[in-house]
Amino acid sequence: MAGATDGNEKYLVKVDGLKVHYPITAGLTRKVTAHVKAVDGVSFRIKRGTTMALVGESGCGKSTTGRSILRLTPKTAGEVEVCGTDIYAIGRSELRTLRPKAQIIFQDPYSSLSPRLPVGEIIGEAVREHGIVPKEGYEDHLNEVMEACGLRTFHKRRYPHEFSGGQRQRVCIARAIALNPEFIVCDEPVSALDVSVQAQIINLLMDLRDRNSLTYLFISHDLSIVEHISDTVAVMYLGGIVEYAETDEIFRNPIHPYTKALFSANPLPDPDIKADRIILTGQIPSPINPPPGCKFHTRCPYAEDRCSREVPEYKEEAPGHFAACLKA
Amino acid sequence: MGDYISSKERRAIIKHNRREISRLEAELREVGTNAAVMRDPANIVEFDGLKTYFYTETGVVKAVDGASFDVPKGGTVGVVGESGCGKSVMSLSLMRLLQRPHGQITGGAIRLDAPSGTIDVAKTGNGGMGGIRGGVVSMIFQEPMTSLNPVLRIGDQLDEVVALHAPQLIGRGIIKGGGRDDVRRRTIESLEAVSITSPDRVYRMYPHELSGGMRQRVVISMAVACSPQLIIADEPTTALDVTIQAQILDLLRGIKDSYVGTGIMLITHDLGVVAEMADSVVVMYAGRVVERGTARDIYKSPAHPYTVGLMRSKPQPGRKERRLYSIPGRVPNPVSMPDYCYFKDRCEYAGEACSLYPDEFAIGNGHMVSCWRKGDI
Repeated sequence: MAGATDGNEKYLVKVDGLKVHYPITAGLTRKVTAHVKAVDGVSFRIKRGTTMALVGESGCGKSTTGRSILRLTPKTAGEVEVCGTDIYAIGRSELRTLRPKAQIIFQDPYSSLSPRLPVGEIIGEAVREHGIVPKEGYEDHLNEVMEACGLRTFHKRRYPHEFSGGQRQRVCIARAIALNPEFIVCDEPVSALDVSVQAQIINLLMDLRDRNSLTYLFISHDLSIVEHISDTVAVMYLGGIVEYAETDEIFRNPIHPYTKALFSANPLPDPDIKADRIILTGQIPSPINPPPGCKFHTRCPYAEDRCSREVPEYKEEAPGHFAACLKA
Repeated sequence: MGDYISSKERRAIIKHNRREISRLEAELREVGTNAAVMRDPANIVEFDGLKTYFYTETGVVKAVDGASFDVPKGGTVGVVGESGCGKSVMSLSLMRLLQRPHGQITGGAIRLDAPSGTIDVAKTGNGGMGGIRGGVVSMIFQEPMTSLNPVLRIGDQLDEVVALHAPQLIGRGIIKGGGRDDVRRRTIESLEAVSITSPDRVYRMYPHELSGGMRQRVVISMAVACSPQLIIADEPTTALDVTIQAQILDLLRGIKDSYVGTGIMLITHDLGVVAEMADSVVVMYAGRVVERGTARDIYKSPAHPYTVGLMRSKPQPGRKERRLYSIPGRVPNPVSMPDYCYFKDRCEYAGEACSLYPDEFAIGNGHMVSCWRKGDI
């Protein structure tokens, strides 16, 4: 590992041209007939201590991006650097030392906790395994983490089925936080929860971020939460980032037609705003056979002839505001 | 989680449940009239003090405990609340689709203005519901994959609905000879009505061949195929993406315009969807209606502390707050509800009066709130 220079690095996560293709096989010989291009050339940087949100519809590759950054899913091409380390260039033992630094929180708190382990063991197992704290400090560390996540210390002996959805998500967060990570991928951490519980979990994530100066990659499709929690936003469509900017900028001046449509489709809790909604027609095309040219041209209300031929370049339209649209 | 129950107590509960259930079932079987009179002829359905209980081995779960509201003809009513508040049980009670024998309507009335005469669904047995389900009231469920039969073609499933509920089309609901073409034509029409571009192709497809949005369109076309008077949409867009959600909501609005007089009861936890679709809003908490009124009343001047809390816990676009508001505490245990206001323990305005469950007070034209402070918050 790079060691001393780590702390001064401006960017904690650097991703360049990341591609993740899943092969589709057929027949007895398992011949590869096609590829699902789940992530097809994604590049971004996340500054230390900030939160980047990745938004898009289901199947656009946002979860796959999150997983492949942590090497939970093998990449096909591209460079991924997390905490100053090229995560795909290192061996197993080095990867093991990196694991506690980069954690993930999953969407569904019902399926991401082992039903056979008590909560104390779920949170503490990796702490012992990685030797995060000396043996005599283990119980204290566990208690501290659980309290920070809004759990009571006597919950340690309970099993996941005894908890509500919000409490379980707190356990998932505690499990990640217990390893003193620098970077956490939050993969739709609140979409399975009720509105009032969502607010509690979002507050918890923000408190922990400020207290432990964490860096988040926040994957979500709920735009009002994204606006609340993130510093920068990247919008994905069909395996590629179509627009990237700071949160205020992208919500005030969206450039890409897809971003505009996505933002206008978000229903607001105000009966007086029945805005001039842009309703996209049709479905998301298949990532096995994405449309040529601009991938969005099949649904874009402003598409021209050239959009189906030329691939738009992902370029800076305004300072710090990137978009991939021929008509920008 | 709940408290520990000894096996002796459990046996006593089961015995009590069995007695209650058989009493309720016997009442329903008794030949009596289920005719009713609507309080207001402009309504399609009136829930009046509805109580739906589930008799479980750990006690009686009062899923809906005295809920009243109306759905006017041609109006859209949004029912909001968090999971477990009883909003789905309301709709299942109206359709009589409760899990029997454990789920029972134990009190109150559901008056439904059916073309054959006004009936009280709470007094109607399963046999009397056949013509109501699908014909007068139809339902759109949350997960379109589980509400379609995976082994039947889309066309066959739709034909069945059309043939069963539109006997005037082919006589006595049996598809025969020439009738089959009429049914098919009607099915294709209803697929076209939900903007499916190639209905002939979709007619021959299986549910797994369609995307989530397309499947939900098929489910909606099934719901509107027989021009029902009331459509219950139970979380119709929760499983869908925002851009597809916008399409489906647009479609539902279009249906309301093309089927004049059809009421929609939209059940959802998404305050944004309700704001966009509903004329009036009903807020439910722990099995009771805590506030109801026009969408404007509820969103602009919410009067119940729970409604206020729910609104505040959603991040507001454009207004950046350091922390999101979250309602303290949790919903009371449904088996042992307190005898005071259900929201008292979580309410920052709780006072002396709250040791009794509040009545419903009118604080504006049609704006009702179940709170002793009557909107003074």
